[in-house]
Amino acid sequence: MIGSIRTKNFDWIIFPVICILLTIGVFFILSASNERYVMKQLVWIGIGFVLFFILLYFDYLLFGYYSYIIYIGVICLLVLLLVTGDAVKGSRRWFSIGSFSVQPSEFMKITLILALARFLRYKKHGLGLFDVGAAVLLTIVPMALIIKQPDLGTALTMIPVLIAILYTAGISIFYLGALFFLSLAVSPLLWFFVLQPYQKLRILGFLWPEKTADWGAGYHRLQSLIAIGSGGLLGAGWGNGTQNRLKFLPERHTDFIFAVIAEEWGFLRACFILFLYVVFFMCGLGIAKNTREPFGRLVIVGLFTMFATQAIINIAMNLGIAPIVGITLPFVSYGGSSMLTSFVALSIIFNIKIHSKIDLASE
Amino acid sequence: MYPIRNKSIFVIFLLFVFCIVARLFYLQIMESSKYKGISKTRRIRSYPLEAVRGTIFDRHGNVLAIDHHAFDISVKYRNLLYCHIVYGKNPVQRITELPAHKNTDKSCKECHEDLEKWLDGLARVLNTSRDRLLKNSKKAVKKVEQIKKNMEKKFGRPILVREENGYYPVISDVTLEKAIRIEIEKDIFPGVRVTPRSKRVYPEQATASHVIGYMGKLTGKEWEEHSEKWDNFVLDSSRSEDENSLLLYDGYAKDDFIGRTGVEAMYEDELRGMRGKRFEEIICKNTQIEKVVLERPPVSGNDIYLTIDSKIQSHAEKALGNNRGVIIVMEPQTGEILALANNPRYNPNTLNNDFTRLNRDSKKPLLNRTIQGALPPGSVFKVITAIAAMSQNTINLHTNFECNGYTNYKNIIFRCWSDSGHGSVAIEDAIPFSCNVFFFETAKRLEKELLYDWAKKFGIGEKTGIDLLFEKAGNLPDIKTTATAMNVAIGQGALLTTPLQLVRVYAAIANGGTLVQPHIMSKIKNKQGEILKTFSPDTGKKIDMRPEILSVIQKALQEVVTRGTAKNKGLEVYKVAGKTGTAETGRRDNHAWFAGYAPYDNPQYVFLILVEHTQEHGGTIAGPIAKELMSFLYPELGQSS
Repeated sequence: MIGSIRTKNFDWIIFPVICILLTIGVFFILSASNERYVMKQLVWIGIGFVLFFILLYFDYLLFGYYSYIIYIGVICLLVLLLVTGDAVKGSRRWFSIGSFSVQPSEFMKITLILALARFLRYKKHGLGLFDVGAAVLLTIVPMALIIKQPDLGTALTMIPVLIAILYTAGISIFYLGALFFLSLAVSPLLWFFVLQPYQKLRILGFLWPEKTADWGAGYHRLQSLIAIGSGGLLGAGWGNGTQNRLKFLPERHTDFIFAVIAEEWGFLRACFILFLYVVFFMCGLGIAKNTREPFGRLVIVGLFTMFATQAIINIAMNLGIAPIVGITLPFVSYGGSSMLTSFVALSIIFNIKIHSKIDLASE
Repeated sequence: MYPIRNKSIFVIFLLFVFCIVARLFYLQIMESSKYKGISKTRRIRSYPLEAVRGTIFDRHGNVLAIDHHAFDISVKYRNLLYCHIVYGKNPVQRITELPAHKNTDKSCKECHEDLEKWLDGLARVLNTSRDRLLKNSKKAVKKVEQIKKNMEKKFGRPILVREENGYYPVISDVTLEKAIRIEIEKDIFPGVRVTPRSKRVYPEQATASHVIGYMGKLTGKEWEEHSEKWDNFVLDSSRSEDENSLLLYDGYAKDDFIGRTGVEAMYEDELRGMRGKRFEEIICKNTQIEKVVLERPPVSGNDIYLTIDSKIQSHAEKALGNNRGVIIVMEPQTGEILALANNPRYNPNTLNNDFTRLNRDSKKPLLNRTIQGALPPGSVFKVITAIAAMSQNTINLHTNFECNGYTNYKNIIFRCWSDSGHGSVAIEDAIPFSCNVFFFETAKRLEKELLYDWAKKFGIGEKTGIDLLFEKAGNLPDIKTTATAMNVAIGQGALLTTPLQLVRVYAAIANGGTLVQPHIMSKIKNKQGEILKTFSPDTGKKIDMRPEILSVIQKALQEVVTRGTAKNKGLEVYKVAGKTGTAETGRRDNHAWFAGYAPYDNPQYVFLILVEHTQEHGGTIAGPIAKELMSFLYPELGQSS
C-alpha cells in the first residue's frame, strides 16, 4: 500500500491555512509567556510535521484495519493512567516521559473516530437500534474514563463527534431525537454522581457569572472578558495587551490565547482567525463530499467535527458564552499532546484525500 | 443523502461561528469602553507619597522637632492568618475554610514545620518573641476577619476582600540594621516587607514640650472636617483636566497624625506639607510594580523658627527644679518669648505610652501653665493699682497711710501680711515692702471703675493673643463695691491672671508703657530656605501713662531688690527690678510670684517666676530662682560679686 501517493491530491488550501494558524499561535505564545514555551512549541510543531509526513505514506485503510486494536490499547492506557498517573493540578491526565508529558485522552479522540468509522462504514442502508446502541457504547466507555480523570472538556468534544458520524452514517432523525432526549434524561445523573465539585462550580460560575467574579472560573471569565473587551476594533498591538502583559489573564498561552489575540489584535483580526477556521472546515467538508469510500468519509467528518467543536468551545469560553473547560484552540494554543493529535488528525485527512479510492462496495 | 447531510453540518457550524462573531462584536465594539475602564481600575493603583513635616527650630537654629525615618515590619495577610490559626491562643474562626484549619492540632509538628521556622526566624532577627509578634498583629487580623465574615454573610458565598491582600505590621519602629537585614534576607522571609514611615522626634526631650506641643491621631469626625477643607484643591493647571482630577489633593488620610497642642497645632497648616500621589500599573497578584503612570510629588512642610532660646529655656527649667510652677523670659521691647518653662513637663517622644498616666496625674503635667494657669496674682498686681491711683491723682508721692497691720472697712478687717504693721507708708515704701494697708486705703479712695479700667489697659482679663492654642483669659471681676476694689487692689479676690499676662504688664513698665504682643514664631522658611513669613510686630498698644509716674514705679521696683521683700537674694548685681507676690490660695498654701526685668537701666529681659502651692513666700522661694536665672543670663556679673 505504501508508495501510491498522488501529490496532486495534496490540499494546497488547508496546508497554508494551518501554517498561518501555527505562526500566529507561536507569536502569541511569545507575547503571553516567554521564549522557553516558544521553543518547546516549535519542537512540538517540528515533531508534528515529521509525524504528518510519515503518516502520509501509509494508506489510511491500514488505520481502519487496526482501529479496534488501537482503541483497546488506548482504553488500557486510560485505565492505567487512572491507577498510576501523576496528579497535576488535581487531575490525572498525563504520562510523564522524561521532561515531556503525554496526554492519552487527546489520542483517544482520534482513536474513537477511527473505531466509530470502522463500525459504521457499511451501514448505509440505515442504522438499527443495535448499531446506534453499540456506537454510543463505544463512545461512552472512553468518555467515562476521561471524565474520571477528570477532564470534562475532552470528554464533551466526543458527543458532537459521535452525533456527526452517526448523522453522516445515515441515522434516522427519529433515533437522533431519541438519543437527544435520552442524554437530557441522563444529564442530572451526571451532575450528582460524576462531576467533581470544582466542575460544578465552573458550571455555576458560567450560569451566574457576577456571583463568582472573585473566585476560580468566574474570575477567569471576567478577566477574559476584560481582555477581549478592551481590545476594541484594532487592539492594543502585539505585546501591549495589559491584561496579558500584567498577568491578569490566567492560562494565557493555553486555554485563553484567543483572549490575548483579541486584546492585542482587536476585533478585525480576531475575525480573521475565525475566517481561517471557516475555510479549514469548508475545505474539510469538501474532501468528505468527494470521498466515495465510506470509512474515509466518516473519519473526515469525525475529525473535522472534532476540530470545529474544539475551536468553537474554546473561543466561546473565551467570550464567556460557554463554561470554562480545559479545551485548547487547535494549532494555536500551547500544548504538546493537543498539537501532536492535531497533526495526526490533519495527516489522516490529507491521507484520505491523497489515497482517495472508489467505493468498492457500492460499485 | 450524503451531500445534503454534509451541508447541514456546515450550516450548524456557520451558525455557531455567527454567534461568536456577534458576541465578539458586542464585547469589542459596543462594550469596549466599559471593559477598558474596568481594566484600568484593576491594573492601576494609587498610593500616597508621604510629605516630610516641617522642622521646628529655636531662635539659634537648634532643632526642637524633626521628622525621622522609622521602619515598620509588615507581613502578608495570608501568612499572618496562618500563624494566628496555628499558634494563636484562640484560633481565628472563619467561614471560608483554609487548609491550615484542618491541621490546627498543635502537636502535629511536621504539618507546620515551615511556618514555625519562618515565624521563629523572623522573631529571632527582630530580637523579639513569637508571641509578641502575634500579639501585635492580633487586632489587625481580627478586623480583617470581621470584614470578611460580614461580607460572606451578606452574600452567602466565599469572598476575597480587598483587605486580605494587604500587609499588616507585626512590629513597629525597628532599627535601621534590622530593617536592612530583613530586606537582604527577603528570600528567607517571603511575605515580609519593610515599610518606612516618618516619625516625629523631639531631640531635646522634655525641653519646651509645652511650647512645641505634641501630635495625635485624627478621629473619624475630625477627618471628615479636615478632608472637606481640601476639596477641589488643584495643584498644577498645566496638566489635562483628566489627570488633574486624578491628582486632586486628598487632604488628610484617615489615620493621619495632626498637631494637638503648642506650635505643632498652631502652625499645623505650615508644618504639614502636602502629600503626593502616585499611580502605578501593577502586575496581578504579587502587586509588583510594572511602571509609574502618573505622579504628583509630595511637597515638604515649611520649617518654623521660634523665638525660644533653647539654652535659656532649659536653664529656666533647671532653675525651677522640682517646684510646680512657671518661668517666662521675654524681650520687653518686642514681645519675643525666650523661654516658656513649665514644671511638671512631659516628654513628647514617649507621650503615646505615657498619655493616660499624665492625663490622670493630679499635678497636670499636660497643662501649659504659662497661658492656661489662671491664678490670683497677689502683690505682683499692686503696680497696676499704684499706676491707676497716681494717674488719677488719688495719691501722689507724698500721700502717707498709717499701717497698723490691718484696716477696717464696714466692720470687715483687711489684714496686712505684716502683723506688726509698717508704720507710716508712702508709695516709695509701699511697693518695696508690699504694704497691703497702703493699697487698701488707696482703693477706698479710688473711683470704683478706675481700677477695672486700668487693669484692662494692662491687658488683664483678656487673652494676650500669643500664637499658642488654648490660652486662658483669666478673670477680671467687675468692681462694684469698695470691698471688691480693696481685694483686687492687692491682687486677691476673684481676680485671676495668667503668668503671661503679668509678664506683659512688667514688660510695659520696663519699656516705657507699651503693651507688646507676646509671640513664639519668629519666621517660617520653606525647604529651599526662602523666608515665607516673619512675625510682623504691630507696634503694640501704648498705655497712656505719665512718665514721672512710670519712673516712680520703676525706682520702687528696684528698691524691692535692694531693701524690700527681695533683698539679700543677690539680685542687686544683676540690676534686677521686680516685685514679689504671695497670693493666698484660700487653703493653707500660697502661690509665690516674682515678676521683674533686668537690667533696670536698659531692660533686656523681662521675666516672671511662679511657684504654685508652696509654704514659702514670693521673696523667699521665687527670689533665689530669679537669682539662678540671672546667673545664667549674665554669668560675668555673677562672678564679679
